[in-house]
Order: sequence, then structure tokens, then C-alpha cells
Amino acid sequence: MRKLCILILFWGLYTAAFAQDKYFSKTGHVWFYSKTPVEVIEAHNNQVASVISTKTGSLAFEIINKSFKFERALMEEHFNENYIESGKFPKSTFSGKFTDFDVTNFSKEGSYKVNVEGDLNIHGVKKHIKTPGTIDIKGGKIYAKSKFIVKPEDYGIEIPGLVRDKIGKNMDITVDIIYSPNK
Amino acid sequence: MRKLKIILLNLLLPFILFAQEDLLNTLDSIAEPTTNYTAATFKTTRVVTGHSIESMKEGQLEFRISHRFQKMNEGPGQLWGLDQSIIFLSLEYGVTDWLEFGVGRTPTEKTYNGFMKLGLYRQSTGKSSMPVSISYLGEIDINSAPFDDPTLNNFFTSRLTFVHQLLIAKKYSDEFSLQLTPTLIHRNIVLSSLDKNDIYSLGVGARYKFNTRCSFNFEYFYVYRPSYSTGVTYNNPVSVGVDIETGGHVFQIMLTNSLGMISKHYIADNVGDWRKGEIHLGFNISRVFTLFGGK
Amino acid sequence: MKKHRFILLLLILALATFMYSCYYDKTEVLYPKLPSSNCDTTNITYANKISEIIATNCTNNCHGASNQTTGGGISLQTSDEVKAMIDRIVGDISHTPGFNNMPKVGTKISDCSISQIIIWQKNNMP
Repeated sequence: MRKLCILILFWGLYTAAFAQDKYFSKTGHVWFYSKTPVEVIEAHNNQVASVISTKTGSLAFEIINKSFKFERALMEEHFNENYIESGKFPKSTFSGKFTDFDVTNFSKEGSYKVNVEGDLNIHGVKKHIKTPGTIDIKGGKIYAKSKFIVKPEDYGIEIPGLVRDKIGKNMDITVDIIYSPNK
Repeated sequence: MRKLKIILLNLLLPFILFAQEDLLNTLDSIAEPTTNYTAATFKTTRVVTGHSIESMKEGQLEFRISHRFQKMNEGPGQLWGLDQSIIFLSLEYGVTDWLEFGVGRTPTEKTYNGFMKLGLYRQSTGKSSMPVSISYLGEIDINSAPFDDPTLNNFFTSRLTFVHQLLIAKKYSDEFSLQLTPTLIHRNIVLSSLDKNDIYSLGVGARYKFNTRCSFNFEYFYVYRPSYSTGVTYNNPVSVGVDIETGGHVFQIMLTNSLGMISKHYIADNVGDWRKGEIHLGFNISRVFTLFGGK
Repeated sequence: MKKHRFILLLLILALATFMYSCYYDKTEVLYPKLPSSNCDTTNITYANKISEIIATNCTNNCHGASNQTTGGGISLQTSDEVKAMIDRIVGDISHTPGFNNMPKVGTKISDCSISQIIIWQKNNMP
């Protein structure tokens, strides 16, 4: 009987501890940019939902494609209608983990260079990507930043010949998210 | 002791798996409920000839040229109607995302027109949901042709026609949209007491998008005309067309029994008879310019 | 805020344009086809035309000084009285459905006279 009680106690503590190890953000900032001699394309999304598990060193983020805001309404309409096809693919997601990163560092303040590896799902196409980034732990929050390049054609995004010169072959993606422990 | 270890391991296992796969799913539970507004119900501001629910966003200007050729039953001598055409030139500008003003001119009765499209409701899902988008279109047409008999006491008000339309549209899916357009056309002067100054009509428009840039469009207006005086036979306008969108241009190619391009001409004055081959080939070209950045 | 006021002004202007000048004219009634075109519709005033028409067709039988009981108590002897009833007069004398055909006694007033009264009304009844 005593053994059972101890078991249940440990189990209770374990789950309690487990629940505290997730950091969330509902207002993550992700933006993309491309520049050609003819056109500059830039769009910002400030409503990215993301979570980091400090127990396992894994992370995920979810982007609602319609929340990318462009300066020109026509560009935004074309992005949603013709390129990302947000009617069919409302979300872009990433699910992966920090590689070679000691998870105990999450409880220590400091600045760390990290590598992130995982599956990026855009426009219904999933690709495994690896990219460097930085993590700053300050005041109980996690500040995560990363910059990487995505090729639209790798994700089945068709760019017709007519507008080839306006849209870069490479899109610079910047991720800038602040995580807090409470939901 | 070994049994205990096995039990412990079994209890821990689901947690370890949980960490990796369900991380993405936990995001669904924390994401803020947002309202998702429907966009791009139609490719452009016209279904075929009639106005669609779409209007220019703030700072955008649309320049449109509409062409209608003559009747196909005129035979090879007239190149099946291609030898002659009438046009409608118009400009529409978005003062805000939900209000646009436009002006236009067509050579039929030398008409100038001005119109206003006011967005009332947008279709949306999510936090606040609305099943349809509704806009109001108000138009004034001014017939600037010289009066038939200048010796009579002619009035400026006799040149005016007022049009009121409600555009009620629903985007059912990425591919299919439907619009209902109840219309009231008021002509300040008509021929006799048998003619009604007010013409009521109900329009139905639909589009089926078969790839990201092209769609089939259809439009029909049922016209309620209880009595009229002349020996002319009026017909309800029917149109079918294809929309092709390329960057900032939208091309609309169509076959229709109506020659007119403003409500008064293609709804109230339409006499084309499909069955007699009185079909017009036509096209609209529109180009959107962003004059001011907007947001 | 300045922008919203501008938009409101535009909307009011649009509404006003609709409200103004909405007519239900019929060409046949306004410009009747006459066998001889000697119906003069220019420069019509109460003094030079309208009072004459009303006197001949209306006040000498039912809407004058001594016979208003037949005329339902309605007098049309002065320009003010005629102007006050003008919408009803036009509907009645043109025998428009929904109105009382006038004159009650005798034949319908000539198309030329009806046309002249309508045009006088449209010109703000000088």
C-alpha cells in the first residue's frame, strides 16, 4: 500500500513538473522579404502561435497565412488567392527541436547560439530544414530569433512567367518570438 | 522491484511521446479566436456585366474598358458582329476599404454615369460570423444626347436615371461563389402611361473558378415589367463568360444577349433574343493601380 | 477623424443627389402629339394661361365662388389655392389611375391644356 502511495505521489509530482515546462507565444513575429530590381515583396505576421518545451528542447509554431499583412492590398490579395492559396492551405507550420542544446540552459539566463531542425510545412508541402538561431533567456522569458531562406518553388508555389521578375527565387524568412511560461 | 520499474516506465512512456508529436496540437488550443473575413468572392468588380460584391480597396484605382460587339446573326458580312462595337469606359476609386466611387461613359444615349458602392457586411467565420457579404450600389445616369425636339420645353431632369442595387454574395468554396442582385431602375421619363418609370429586377450571378487565375462566370437578370407601350419585345439579359487574371489585369470575355453595359441599357432596355442568334461577343479589361499605399 | 468627416460629406451628397429630382414623367403626357402643333408650352404663367384653363373648366361649375358644395368644398379661384392642390389637380385631370377623373361634369380637358399645367408645375408655377 505504501509503495502504491509513493508511486502515485511521484506520478503526481512528475505530471505537475511536466506541465510547467512549456513556454508559449500568441503574438510571434514572422516576416518574409524578397527584392528584385523590379519589385520589393515584404509581409509581416504578428499573430504567430508558438510553443517551446523546455523539458524536451522541442518547439512548434503555427502561422495563419491570411494574417500576413502587405503594404499593398492587391499584393496581399494575390498572395492569398494565387500563391499560398490560403483557402486550401490556411496554415503554415513548423515542428522540430533544438539540436545539441542542453535543456538545462533554459532555466539559466544568458544568450545562446542554437541549431534548429524540423519539418516546415508550407502550401501542403513538408520539408525537413536545418537552420541556426539565437535564444536569449531573460527575466523568465525566452527570446528566440532565426533567419533562413525558403524557395517558393520547393513548396509547390507556382510563379507564372509574367511576374517572374517581380518575385525573388529566394524568400528571406525572419522569426522573432518572445515566449512566456503562462498560457 | 522489477514490476515497479516496468509500471513506472509504462507510465512515463506516453509523456515522452507526447512531447514530440502533440506540441503542434497544443497550439490549436491556445490560439486566440479570430474572425476570418472572406476575400476575393469574385475576381473583379463585375460578375459579367453587372456589378459584383468586390470593390476597390483604399487607395486603389481601377480603369476599365468594356466592349460589346454587334449581333452574331449579322453574318459573315459584318464578321458576325465584330465589325462594330460600343464601349464603356469607367474609373472606380476606393476611398476606404468599404466605400468606392466611380464614373463612366458610354456612347449609347451619350450617357455619363456616377456610382457609389458601399460595403455593408462582409462574409466571415470564426469569432464573429456572417453568412453573406452585402453591399449597396447607387448609380445616377445622365443622358447627354441632344433632345429630339429642341422647340419643346425640355427638362434636365428628363435626362436622369437612378439605379439602386443590393449586392448579396456568398463564397461557398474556393471555387464557387453566388450573388443575388435585387435591382430598382428609376427612369425619370418614359414614353407613355403604360410604361412604368420604375423597373424592378432580380439578378443572379455565379462563378466557378477552375484554376487559380481563371473562372467561368454566369449572369441572369429577371426583369419585372408588368406593362409597356411600344411594339418592342424586351428580353431578360443572360450572359456567360470567362475571367482571366494576370497580375494587375483581369480580362473578362463573354457571350451575351445584351448590348448595354450600364443597368438602364442592359436590364431595362434589353431587346436581344438568344433564340434568334442575337448574341454579342464582348470583353472587359480592367487594370488596378495602387495610387496610395493604403495601410 | 478628418477623413471620416469627408466620407460622411460624400455620402450625404450622394444621398441628396438621389432625393432631388426624382420624377415620374411620361412623354405622351408631357408632350402630347397634336394634329396641329399650336400648343404653346413656353413661358406659361398663372396669369397668362393657367387661370384661364381653371376658369373655363373648373371654377365656373364646381370650384368657384358660389358652387363649392358641388365641388366638395374645394375652391380654385386664386393662384394660391391652385398651387396648394396642384399634385391632385394634375392626377385628376390626366385621368391617372388612383385619382378622381376631373372635370366630373363634361369631357376631359384638352391634352394641350393638361400639358401646359404639368409644365407650369415643373417650372415651379410662376
